[in-house]
Amino acid sequence: MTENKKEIKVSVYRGFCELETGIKTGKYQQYKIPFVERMTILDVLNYIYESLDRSLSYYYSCRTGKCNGCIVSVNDKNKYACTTFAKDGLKIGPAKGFRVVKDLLIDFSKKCKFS
Amino acid sequence: MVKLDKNLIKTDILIIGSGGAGARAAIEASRNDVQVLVVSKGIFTRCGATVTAGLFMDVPSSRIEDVCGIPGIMKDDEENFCKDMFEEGKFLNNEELVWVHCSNAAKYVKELVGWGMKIEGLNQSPGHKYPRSIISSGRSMVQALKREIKKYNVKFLDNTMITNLLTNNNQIVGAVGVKLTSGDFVVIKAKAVILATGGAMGLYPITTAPQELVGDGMYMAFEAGAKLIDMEFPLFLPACLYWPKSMKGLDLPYTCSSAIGGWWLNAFGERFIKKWDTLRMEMGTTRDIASIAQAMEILEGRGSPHGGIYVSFKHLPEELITAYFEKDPQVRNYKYGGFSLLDSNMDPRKVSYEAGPAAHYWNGGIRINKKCETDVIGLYAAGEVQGGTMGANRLAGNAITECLVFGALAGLNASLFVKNISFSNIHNNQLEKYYERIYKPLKQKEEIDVIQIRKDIQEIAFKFAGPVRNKAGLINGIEEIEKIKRDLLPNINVNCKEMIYNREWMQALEIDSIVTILESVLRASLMRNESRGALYRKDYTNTDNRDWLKNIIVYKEDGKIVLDALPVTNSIVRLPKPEKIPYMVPKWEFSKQC
Repeated sequence: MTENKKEIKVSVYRGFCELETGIKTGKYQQYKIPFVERMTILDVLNYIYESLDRSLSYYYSCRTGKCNGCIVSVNDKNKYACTTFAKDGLKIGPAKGFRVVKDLLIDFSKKCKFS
Repeated sequence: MVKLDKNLIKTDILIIGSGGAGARAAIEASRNDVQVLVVSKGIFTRCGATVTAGLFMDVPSSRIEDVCGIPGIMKDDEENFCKDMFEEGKFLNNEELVWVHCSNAAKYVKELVGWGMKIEGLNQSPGHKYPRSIISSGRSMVQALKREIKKYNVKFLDNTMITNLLTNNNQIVGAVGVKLTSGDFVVIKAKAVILATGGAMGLYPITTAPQELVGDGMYMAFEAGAKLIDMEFPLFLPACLYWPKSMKGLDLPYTCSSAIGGWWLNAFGERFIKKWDTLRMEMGTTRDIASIAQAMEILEGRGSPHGGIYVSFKHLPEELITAYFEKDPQVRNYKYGGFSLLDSNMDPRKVSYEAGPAAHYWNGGIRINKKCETDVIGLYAAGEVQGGTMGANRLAGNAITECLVFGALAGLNASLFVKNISFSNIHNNQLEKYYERIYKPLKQKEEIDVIQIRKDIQEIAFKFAGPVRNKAGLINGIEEIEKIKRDLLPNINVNCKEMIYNREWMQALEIDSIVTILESVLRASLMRNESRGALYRKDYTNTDNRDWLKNIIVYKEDGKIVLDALPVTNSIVRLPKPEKIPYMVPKWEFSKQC
């Protein structure tokens, strides 16, 4: 089972989008994460930010699935980072349907069909 | 030279913070036909404490039927509500603020119901003699506020961190900050500023609050010359999860304990609460006593493997647990917040929880009067960032009531104030100084790790300014903080030098708030040689009503932190006899009336 692995690999979107069209211009980068029991996507992002790459941009507030701020796409489906459990091989991108500001940070006021 | 023309924004009223208090203030001010700009470090409707709240709103029980159609208890009234607030606040509450709170609560909650906030029921929370807590959800409240705010021409600036207030002769003239999505310097010229930035729970390693609440508003007010009050009383919520890591701070065990009666057990399986609150036990005790009781077990080495205590429901009939987790609106279908308890191996029928006190609410804050005015002209404060209303401890359900009532009043009074004045000049030396402060971490090269410093400070906070404190620890804490201020803060720098949404940069800028607020907690706690409400001094276990029916005021004078103790007055209830009494619980027994 993937849950028993000591380390998982996830790929995370890094980069921007074209201002006019919203087409993404960044790429997915792979990270190795030491796995902790009941680790969430938010734990993974915090680990990358704190221990691997301080330049990762992402947004969260409440950590409990209430504020709707940490929404990201996980294997192409929009989910809350804070309440979705992490596992090996996940692809984490900016939430679909909005313009990307940078990495996983999106502009909620600008809907975008190309996402 | 900082060039003003490119970056300058002008508004009659600047509201900092877009949670419940900020949004409510924006609505009220807009009704009076003034320009309103709401600036938030996060994103409107997706940040702040309101959206995450449970949520209870207290109103006098006799008014509940009028507010939402559910019958309350007619024996209750505004004055009884006040009395319970004073009793819970251990008589340190400001009487004017309490009266304003209790007498306006029903009016503003009713208005919110009219804007479409859904009501889920009624509850009698611990510390209340009558059922006063109307149950809704933070999301429902925020959506109702959003619908109403759209009727007005309120401007919003999200993802923008205000770092300093601008003043001219003790009068507000604006504020500066940084637009996080571009790194641009932002200068806002305003006739009045309303601070609605919430508490400072982020000082502590485990908190129920959203991550961004680190006391920015209190810090900015303090720096601008306003006074802080009751800073020694951060409120801890007992029985919040300490494990698993991803759910740290979740108040699930406490919520369930209050509803169906969990047992809190130490490493020896003892229900230790009986030493503290024999009559009311886990289900009826208040949060201050419960937090202290749990912290004592943890500190004295009778805790669980992950540093908490155990919360167990396994003594209850399975049918009772099942009925609660299937039907109660807060935990329906074994879901809490966004977590599924069944998927995350947290089924209360099968496991006990490891839990303990978590920073939950800020009883103290910026000193205001009943018009929400601070000690700086044109500077208002509303909601959790304000101090004085709750005294030494807050009744459950009163935080949302506070942000509604005082949010509205701050909006009203600020809008009346700005009608009679014009914009004042911004001093260029202030602009230069704050511009320098914002961009300095990007330029420096010292090897100081922002995240490590923050973790170190949080450890200091929990160790020396947690639910249980003593003189030696507080002095130790102050020394540690002074060392950080002297050796690390001037050289703070960030690894990542990017301008677009640089989280590390934002966290570096927050450190000044965290350090300043923690220092005020430590110093005020050291000054108060007694135990009262949310403050428990292990070396002074009496409540001293002879010498300490006083509020401690913290402010800055000639660049130094100063503390004063001012006696409280009260014309609504009789103050306790001037004597020392053991720190203990009220004598009446808790019985649910609904």
